[in-house]
Amino acid sequence: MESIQINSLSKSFGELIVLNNFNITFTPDKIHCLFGPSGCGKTTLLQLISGLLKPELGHIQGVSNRRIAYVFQEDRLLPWATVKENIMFVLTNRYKDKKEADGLAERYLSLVGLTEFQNYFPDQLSGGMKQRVAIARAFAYQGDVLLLDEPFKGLDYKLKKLLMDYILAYWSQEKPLCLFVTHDPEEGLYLADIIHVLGGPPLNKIKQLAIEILHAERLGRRAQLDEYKKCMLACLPANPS
Amino acid sequence: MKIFIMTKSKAFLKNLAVLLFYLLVWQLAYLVIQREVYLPSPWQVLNRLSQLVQEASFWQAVAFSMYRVGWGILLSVLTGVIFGVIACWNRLCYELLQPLIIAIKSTPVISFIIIALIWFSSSVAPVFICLLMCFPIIWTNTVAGIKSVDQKLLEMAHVYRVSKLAIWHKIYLPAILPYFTAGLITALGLGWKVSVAAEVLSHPKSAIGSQLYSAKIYLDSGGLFAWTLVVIILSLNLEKLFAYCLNRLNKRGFGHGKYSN
Repeated sequence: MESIQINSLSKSFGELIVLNNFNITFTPDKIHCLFGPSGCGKTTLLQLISGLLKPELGHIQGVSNRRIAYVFQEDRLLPWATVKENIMFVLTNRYKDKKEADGLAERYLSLVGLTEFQNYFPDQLSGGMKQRVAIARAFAYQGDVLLLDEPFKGLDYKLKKLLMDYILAYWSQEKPLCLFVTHDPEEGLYLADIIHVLGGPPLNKIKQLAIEILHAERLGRRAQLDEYKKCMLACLPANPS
Repeated sequence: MKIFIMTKSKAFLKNLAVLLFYLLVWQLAYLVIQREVYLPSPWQVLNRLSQLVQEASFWQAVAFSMYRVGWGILLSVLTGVIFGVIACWNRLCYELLQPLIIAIKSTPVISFIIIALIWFSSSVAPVFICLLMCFPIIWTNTVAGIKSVDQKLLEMAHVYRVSKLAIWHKIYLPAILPYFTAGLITALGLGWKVSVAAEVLSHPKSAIGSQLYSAKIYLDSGGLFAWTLVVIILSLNLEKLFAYCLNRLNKRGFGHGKYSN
């Protein structure tokens, strides 16, 4: 697996310069957390990496031939398709053999604990369940790169932790390069191997922290995590409010 | 929203009561006016209708008129959908088509009927009129349907490299279908009316419109009312039949099962 290298990337929307000559490298097989205030350009960066947006200048190495799974801020489920059909939707192009796709869909539905709900329509599910379907969809696609854009937005702590555990379980099996956007330091500290503290716009890299504690041990080492957290928050520009 | 819960038989009795009320009003109006040419009585109209249904020419007229409306609607659906897709696919095509559609919508039907009489044979003119009047409705609804497609779902499908075919089948089609159905049902009602109007002027050999025209010439108000009743009944039933068929299609063929009415 190669890393993702971003070289002198620029992007603006009208007057607003979101990225200006931005450089960053994401090493393979790791969970990277993009941590920064809302509106600093993190989502734009993910959209550029996924190919949904085209950069004005610069280039992104290491994504052209790789499959990308993307968990958006919203669930983005087809409202007229059942939970299982929603997952099958992203698999049919790749797995001509329906049985194989079926097996994958079922496997990841069971990982997020939604097997019983596979024939439900999205509007019959709660917000948290819909987000779990979106995560299962990204898992089942088995991308080489997994992009997660604030996937736990608006969910309570318990559910958040549950979903983070699903992501860890999936990541430890498949080891995709995982990029995960958040503005909650706790989420980053629980999930990430490397935390990139970002500011902007225009997006700039303030600091990089490598968290060298095994995921399973993190809850027990609160004091050490708090040190990291202080460090992360100290990097951020003073909040105007 | 108030919901009236009614059993089927109760609903039927209610409808029957409404019908009887208007028949009574009609009968009273007839008794006041007392001129059959101005307003025939309900009884006379029913009587005339029962005479008509015994004639072979009645069924021929009905069959041919339905055949023409059918062609008109079918052609308007084909052209409306094709041009609707083209308009959404290319901005320039949209800019070119949009004023044309507005022009067609605001031109009086009678102008089109007269020009159609010059261009086409008496039997084709009603089909053309039906096509011309229904095309803007189907086109507008198709365009509105395509524009209603959620961009965020398209982005999702793009990232996950879903095939074009699956995107059409699973994102575009379900989003367009409710718009298309609504357009089709409106088109059906309108198409029926305008093609009968065109028949009145073009009078083909077998047509409801031609029968209406003869009723006018012979001052046969009973016949006029009877034929009008036939048009109303056919129009309502066709609409119902269509709605039913579309619902079945939605449930079965496209497998989304999420669309009702």
